[in-house]
Amino acid sequence: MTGIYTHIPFCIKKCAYCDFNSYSGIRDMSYSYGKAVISEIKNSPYKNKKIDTVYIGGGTPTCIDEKILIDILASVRESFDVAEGAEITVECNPGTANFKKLHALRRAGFNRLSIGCQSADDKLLKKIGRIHTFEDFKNCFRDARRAGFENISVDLMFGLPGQTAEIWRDTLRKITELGPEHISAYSLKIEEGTPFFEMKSRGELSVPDDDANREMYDTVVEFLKDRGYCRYEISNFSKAGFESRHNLIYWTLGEYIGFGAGAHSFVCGRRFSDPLGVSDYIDFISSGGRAEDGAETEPDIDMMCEYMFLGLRLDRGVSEREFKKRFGKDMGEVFKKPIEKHLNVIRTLESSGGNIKIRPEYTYVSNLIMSDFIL
Amino acid sequence: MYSRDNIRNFSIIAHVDHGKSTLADRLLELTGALTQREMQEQILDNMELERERGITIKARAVRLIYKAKDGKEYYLNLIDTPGHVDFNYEVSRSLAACEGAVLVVDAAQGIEAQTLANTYLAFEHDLEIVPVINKIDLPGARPDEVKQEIEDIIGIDGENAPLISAKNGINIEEVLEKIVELIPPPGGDENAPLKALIFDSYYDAYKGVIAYVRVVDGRLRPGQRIKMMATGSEFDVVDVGYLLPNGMLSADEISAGEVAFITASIKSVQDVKVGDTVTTASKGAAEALPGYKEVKSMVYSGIYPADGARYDDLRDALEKLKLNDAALNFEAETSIALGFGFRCGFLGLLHMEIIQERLEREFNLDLVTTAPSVEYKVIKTDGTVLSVDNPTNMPEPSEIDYMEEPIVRAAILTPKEYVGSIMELCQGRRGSYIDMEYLDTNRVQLNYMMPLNEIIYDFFDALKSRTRGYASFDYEFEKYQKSDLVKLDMLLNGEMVDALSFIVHKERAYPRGRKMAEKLKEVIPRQLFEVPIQAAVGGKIIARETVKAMRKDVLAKCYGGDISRKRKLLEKQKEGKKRMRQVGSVEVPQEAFMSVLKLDE
Repeated sequence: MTGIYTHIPFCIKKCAYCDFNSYSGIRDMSYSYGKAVISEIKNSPYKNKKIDTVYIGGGTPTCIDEKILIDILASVRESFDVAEGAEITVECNPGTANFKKLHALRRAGFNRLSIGCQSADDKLLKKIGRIHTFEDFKNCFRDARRAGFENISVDLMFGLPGQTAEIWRDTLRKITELGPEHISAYSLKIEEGTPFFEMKSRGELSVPDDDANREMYDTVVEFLKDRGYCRYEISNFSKAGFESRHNLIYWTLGEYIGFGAGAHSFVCGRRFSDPLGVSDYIDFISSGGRAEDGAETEPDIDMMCEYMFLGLRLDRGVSEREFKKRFGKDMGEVFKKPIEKHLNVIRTLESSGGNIKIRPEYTYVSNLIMSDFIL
Repeated sequence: MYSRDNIRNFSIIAHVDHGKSTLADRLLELTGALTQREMQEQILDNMELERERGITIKARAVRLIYKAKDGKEYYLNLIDTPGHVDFNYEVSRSLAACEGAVLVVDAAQGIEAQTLANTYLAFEHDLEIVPVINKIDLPGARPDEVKQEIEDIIGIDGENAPLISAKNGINIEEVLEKIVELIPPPGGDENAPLKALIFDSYYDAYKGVIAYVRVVDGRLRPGQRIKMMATGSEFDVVDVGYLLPNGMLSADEISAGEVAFITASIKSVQDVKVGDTVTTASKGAAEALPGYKEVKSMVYSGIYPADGARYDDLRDALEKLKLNDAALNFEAETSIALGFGFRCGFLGLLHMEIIQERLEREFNLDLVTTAPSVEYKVIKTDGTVLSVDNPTNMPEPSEIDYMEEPIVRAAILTPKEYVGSIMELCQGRRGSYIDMEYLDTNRVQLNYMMPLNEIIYDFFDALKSRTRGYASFDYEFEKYQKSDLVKLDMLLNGEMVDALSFIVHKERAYPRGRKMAEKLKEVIPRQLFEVPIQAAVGGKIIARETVKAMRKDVLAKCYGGDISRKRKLLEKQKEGKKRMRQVGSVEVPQEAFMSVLKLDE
């Protein structure tokens, strides 16, 4: 399985918690940026590779002219062998998409829409710096359905400043009433270099403590389970058959090719990434640069560790058979000590059908387990 | 040759921080010029050799040459003394090598516990005391009052004490004049059989052990076969000579009254015991000099490498330190919780701290040390007597008839307003009051008998904090005394952690167990599961705390681009775990094992 990721580093306004590679106030660069991305795609050394998923993320892809996104997808199709029935996702902010835009994207071949909603509470939305209301989101969701998106994912956040268990349950209720196929629910993490980080260090921001945060996590797992959504990864839930195929590539250490500013690639055993800044990226591409400095890495112990800590994120866990197929070694041998400890002694892992997985009650403390798998 | 009348052998004694080392430096400086000019040719070779080998001579004794106002040249042998109660025996041997002592008293602080303890020791050796009042240029200086204290408390004439500032070199010459004037020259009979007192030793990788001696009677020469009277071991003298500020100066002969070094291809400091008498192997002295004692460890602690792989490095480091420190004892021990390490015996708390610090600083080791213990005597029901310095080795209660613990005589000097608070502290530590004396109108000496195991935890800190640092404290071993002692065990997740056990008086077991459980709860991080912490005496749980299970420790979002960042996060977490000790399935931070030291009762 191979996926293509394309990064759109533009936003109308940065949210207060966001430390992603995105910028506001430079959307006039989007056309030249789009050209650079298309040029990078056309000159990719992995041209003609079979592609199973395409994902355009951001930033906010929908905050720029949709024609750019459509052109990008077209050049991907032109340069690569995009499989029949490939999953093709675009991310969307409710404040930036109308029916017309969504319809154009759907018609161009995007078949999965990932909408950032975060909360159904307008006061919270404002507090975290979102540019839309919950009403905007509902309209966006309906427009997306009308435009023909039959696979919609909604991003939500919990552990927000001032968020109560009740507000969280209310958000879950309102979202599930709309019936998206997929829901991602992330705990707010306060990252360095964000406005929230500054506020927190000044003591002006208080978020629910770990116990309350855990309650919220347990709530979302249970709430969504009751409504037919399976937790297939730590923070991801879907109706049967609607797991994000693109993200599954990451969690199973599959191949992905990244295009655009700061995009990472892991393909044919090589890891590399593009320049982070928008102008840097454009200059780099227009002067004939090619982001591929990483030498081919043989599957080594580091890769096995990554395979484990990524795979353990999944509810299905890691397959001993797949491990052996990929690395030619027995998982039980390579990770003898942590497996013995976590499977048999403190029993935070369980084994079923040749897979080893984290017991659901330990999912939310999984760092304590995964760090033992760093050899 | 010079006349014995021109020799002065002396020490400097003082309370810690009253300026002993600074004064010694000034004396060296003031006499150094002459020494260098006259001795340059002779010592040059010596120095170069040392420079080549990178040796620095441990300057524990040094000969200074001083031209006094009477026009004569005097040879002043300054013998250094360790300034702490842990080294009382070493101090007493150094003093035994002298005829006089310069007593340094801080002009602001006045007389303190160690001032007195050291002065009494000097009195015991009939030394002439030369009082000196230091730091007279400090704003808080009250030299007249301190003079009066010297007269009232010590009972010697303080009126003519030089008023000096060692730091700023004020009136140092006056000290030298007083030394010449007041301290008598050494006695002794050059023609009697050899008797030389060992007051220090030093290990040199090339010459073997260098013994520092004071020749009391007879003569010492290279080629002589000598005998250590306490150990019975014999050696052939290779070299003898004087200790100069910047090296060693060989001599053909050293005779009664002089201070000298001896080398004799001695391989181990164990053969050169401080306080032992050196004599000739044949026609030697009939009786050794008085006062020799076998040095005994008073405080014991387990020392483990934080990284188990550095066990060999730790052993090598301890062996190196032992080359120069006959008072350090160690033997291998194993702890279920801490792995392989050493049980070490020390003279006292300071000695323990010095060794630990040297291991960490000079040998770059990360250590885990267990709570210090004293040596208990266990009288078993079958009549046998067992010495226990490691709580793990304490027999089952059913096998014990009774136990004894070491008791010390503690002297605490304090301004009178803190008396109540100190008495409360001492009583809380099972001290029994002996008496109290007013040293002057403001200061009091409190005398207590106290169990040593109550002092080795945090007594000194507690004393300092209750008296805002004004009290000083000194103790010496008194006796073993029958006591109702129990072994307190700590259990984590139901498993006993051997390295956390300690022996405690029965009545103190409950509060200590409770404090210990509370402390452990503070230092043990939340884990994947709930961790019960229990304190138990003889299998009975007396206190309990719980470390709740970790509720949240997760990378919420993890996609392609940032795998390496997430990996780094997990690696960091793994590094953190490395500093933990795995006790059963519980991860315990290293500092937990030391936390018993800071119970803050």
